[in-house]
Amino acid sequence: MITFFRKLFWFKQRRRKEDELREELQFHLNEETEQFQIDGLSSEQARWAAHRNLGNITFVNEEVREMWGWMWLERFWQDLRYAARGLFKSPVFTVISIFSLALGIGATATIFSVFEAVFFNGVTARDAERVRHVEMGEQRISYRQYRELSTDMPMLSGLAAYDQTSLSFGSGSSLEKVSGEVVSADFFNVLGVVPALGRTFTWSDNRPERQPQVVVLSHTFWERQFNADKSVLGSAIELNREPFTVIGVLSRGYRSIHGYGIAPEIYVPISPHLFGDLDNPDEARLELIGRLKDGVSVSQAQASVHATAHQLPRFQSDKLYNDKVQMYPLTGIEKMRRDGVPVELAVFFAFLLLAAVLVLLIACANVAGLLVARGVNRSREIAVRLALGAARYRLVQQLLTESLALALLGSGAGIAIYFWASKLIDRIQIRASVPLELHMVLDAQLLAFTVALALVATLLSGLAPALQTSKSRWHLGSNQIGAETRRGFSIRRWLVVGQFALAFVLLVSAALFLRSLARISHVDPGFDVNHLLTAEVNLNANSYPQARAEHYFETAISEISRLPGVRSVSGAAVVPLGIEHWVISMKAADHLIQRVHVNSVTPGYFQTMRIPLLRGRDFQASDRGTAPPVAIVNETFARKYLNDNPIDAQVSIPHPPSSPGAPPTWSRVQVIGVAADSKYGSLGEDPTPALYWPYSQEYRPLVLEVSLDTGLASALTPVRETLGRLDPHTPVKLQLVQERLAGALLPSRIASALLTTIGSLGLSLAAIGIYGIMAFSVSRRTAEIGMRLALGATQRQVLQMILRDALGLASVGMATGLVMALLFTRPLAGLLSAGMIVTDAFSFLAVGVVLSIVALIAAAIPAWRASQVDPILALRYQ
Amino acid sequence: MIRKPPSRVEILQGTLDLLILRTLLSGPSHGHSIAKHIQRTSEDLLQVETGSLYPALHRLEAKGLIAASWELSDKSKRAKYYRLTPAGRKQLTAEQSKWQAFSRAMGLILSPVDLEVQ
Repeated sequence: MITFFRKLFWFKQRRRKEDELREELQFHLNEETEQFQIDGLSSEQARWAAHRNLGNITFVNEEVREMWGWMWLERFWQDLRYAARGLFKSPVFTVISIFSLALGIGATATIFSVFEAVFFNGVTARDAERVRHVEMGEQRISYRQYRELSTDMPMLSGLAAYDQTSLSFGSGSSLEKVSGEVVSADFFNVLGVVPALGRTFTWSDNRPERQPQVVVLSHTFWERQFNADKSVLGSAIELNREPFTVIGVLSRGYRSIHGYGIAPEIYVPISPHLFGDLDNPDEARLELIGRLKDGVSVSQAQASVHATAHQLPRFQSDKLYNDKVQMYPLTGIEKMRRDGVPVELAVFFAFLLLAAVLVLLIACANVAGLLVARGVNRSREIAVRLALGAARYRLVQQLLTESLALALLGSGAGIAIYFWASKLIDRIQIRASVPLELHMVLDAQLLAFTVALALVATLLSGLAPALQTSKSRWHLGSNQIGAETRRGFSIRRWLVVGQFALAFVLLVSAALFLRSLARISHVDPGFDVNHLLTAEVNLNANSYPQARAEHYFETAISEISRLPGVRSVSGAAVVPLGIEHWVISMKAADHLIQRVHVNSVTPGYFQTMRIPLLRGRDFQASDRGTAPPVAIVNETFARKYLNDNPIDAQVSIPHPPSSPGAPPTWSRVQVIGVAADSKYGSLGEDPTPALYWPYSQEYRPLVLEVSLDTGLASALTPVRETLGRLDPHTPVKLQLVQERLAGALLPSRIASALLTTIGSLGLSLAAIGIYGIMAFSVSRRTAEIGMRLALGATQRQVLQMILRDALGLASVGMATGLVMALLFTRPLAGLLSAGMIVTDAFSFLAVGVVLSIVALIAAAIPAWRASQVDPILALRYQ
Repeated sequence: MIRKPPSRVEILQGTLDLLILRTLLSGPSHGHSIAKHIQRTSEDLLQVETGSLYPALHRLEAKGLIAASWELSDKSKRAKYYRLTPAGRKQLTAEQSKWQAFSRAMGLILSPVDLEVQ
């Protein structure tokens, strides 16, 4: 240890130490000389004898320096400067290499970061590992239960409750639905969040009698609605037609409790306005988070909460509470599992990451090829140095340093690209059914990842060329232009082959996806998309018991259908191709059918949606709750399960048992009609059975569907106003079905955009690779080409020769890529739409053609140059 | 990659260190006089190469077993003098007893053979 520090100290004074060493050795030499002179030799002889005794002074110097231990640092610095000079001297090579590496590293870092942001980035919270989701027996709980729990929690320093909600914002005709969060007063305290402006909630904000209420805004909402005006604090906004005072604004980049980029726009405290009767135990909507006290373990906290809950009468009498308290982290794999994140999404992202890594590999291959080519051009220099006694390992070290310098520059540029891309992504606010924002953070993990990438890139790009270049078979003549003839496959050619193979795999995967997506967008959904708009109303369940709700809907439908331009209005429980799917299992003629899409609709639904009714009749007003239960099925259902004899057939619907453990009860329903097939869950699904109930027999809150004859956009305001007149407190969300569909396709569109980008990157890099290799090859073969021309070959023949060479390389690459693609695209099968197989011949063929054309174009310039070689000059040069 | 030939210092590393430390026990000296002293005292049997001596001296200095300073020699020339540090003194004692134990062990093994040869 002491040794280390002493050496470190010496390092700072190394010049002085070197001078001292020289002086010391000189002194030794002088003493020896004197000694010999005393012994009787002449001064000349004494000096020689002394030198002989001393040995090789240079060697001694080196030994001591080696012992000092900082030689490697000086050598490294020397290598770096030499590398820098070399890079400056060949700017084209340097720029292309840095560009290739930057693209590869930048793309990979960006995708990795997006992946992290969507799935793994933490919630904005202080000490987020100490905060956990608290789940009471897989149930949400009521406000009263929450208050009771929070009175006795020895292991938690705070317990907060929250729920998503949507509110109408604004007044008059500019009512807008905003997505928000209703929270208990200590929500932000438990998370440890500090607002950018103003303050967050306190318990005094929570008193139900308090008027006006308070609200905290998200940063994006504040920017959008108030132009980031700081004086918004203290001003009032209207939510659900009630005044709310703005008391705070959250910071930019705040990541909400939900994860996945979901970003609620406003936060309000729990109150009876928004939350019905606070005492009602049936209003079980809240989710919980709790902060563990210092030193408390998760299992301790779980046990403690469980013990508390057990004491409380409400929990004991709750039949559905099944005795389990779970606390799980705010982010990570466990959370994803509980949220039911579809595996396909994760697989898709993993695939994207893999694609980016492929691009990086292609880029490294590019740089490696360029380095090898450059190494060949320096063979004279290398040979001379080897002849002068340079150690092979030193040469390899120096060449590796060169590629390290390139890799460092490339990663620097790559990180710059990453910053630019993440700024771009940050600005995107996707307005899906909930607003989504992605905030990417350059954290230590990502930095370490990028550095590791750079190092791997260095090794991949530089090792093979470095080793090859330092081989001793270089002789002085091999620097000459034209010294080579075609020698079959060298490492450079293999690199290009590899590049093309990787590019093939990349492009085929992208092509498969793109075709799959194109197919999906052209699928006919089976109902009218262009003249339909939906109106979602969030009826407060407390103010609207079933009878009143039914009356509301009936009135709404009749009022809206009286508006000019409206062709027909009806209601349905579920919107097809929406986020919510309603699927049950049922029986028909004693077959158990696992998955049937069901819906509860008003009379006239099929007419509104323009779904043809093929047989039987539609629902009517007479199909009331007291009348015999009826249903309408779709074509697939009738064909598969009713033997095409559907009318008056009976199907059985299961109902949940009255007590747990008992078998379900079945009720029989009569089929009265058959509707045409349409798409229910997703555009890419196979034909699937579906069944419709009359809304009066199977009550659910409805979404209104309005079919218009003309003027789609201009109908929005009248419809909104009509509904506003019926109940000004109820938020309404209107949407054109066209837009809704486009929103459903949005993830696919984003995916295909990403894939196209990555595919193009890979393609450009491969093109650069083949250009480089052909250009280099031509420059080495000028003597051979000159000879051919002199012996009678036409320029055209030379051109064809080079092009054939390029095509040959590309073909070998593509053949390899073909095999790899067949093997590796298997896992993608689950992501493609129905009808698209992973061995889609068209995709493979198209990619093959594209790559061949690219190879030819890339090789065109070198080929043309080859044909322009002047035979006399070429031969003379040799 | 070619391995560097083992430096000449490494061969006698342990013993050379011991010799240097012992030499310095009698007082500070510079490199040249240390070499001469070892040569003289061993009756010319041990000749220390400069290539081994100076790296060894600097290594001992790095370890803190000896300390260096620039003084005027007896001929009034500037020279680098080395002297033992307390740590070096301790090391010397330890190494010396190790060496003695080692040579005793060697002697025990070698001597019976000698008797037989006689």
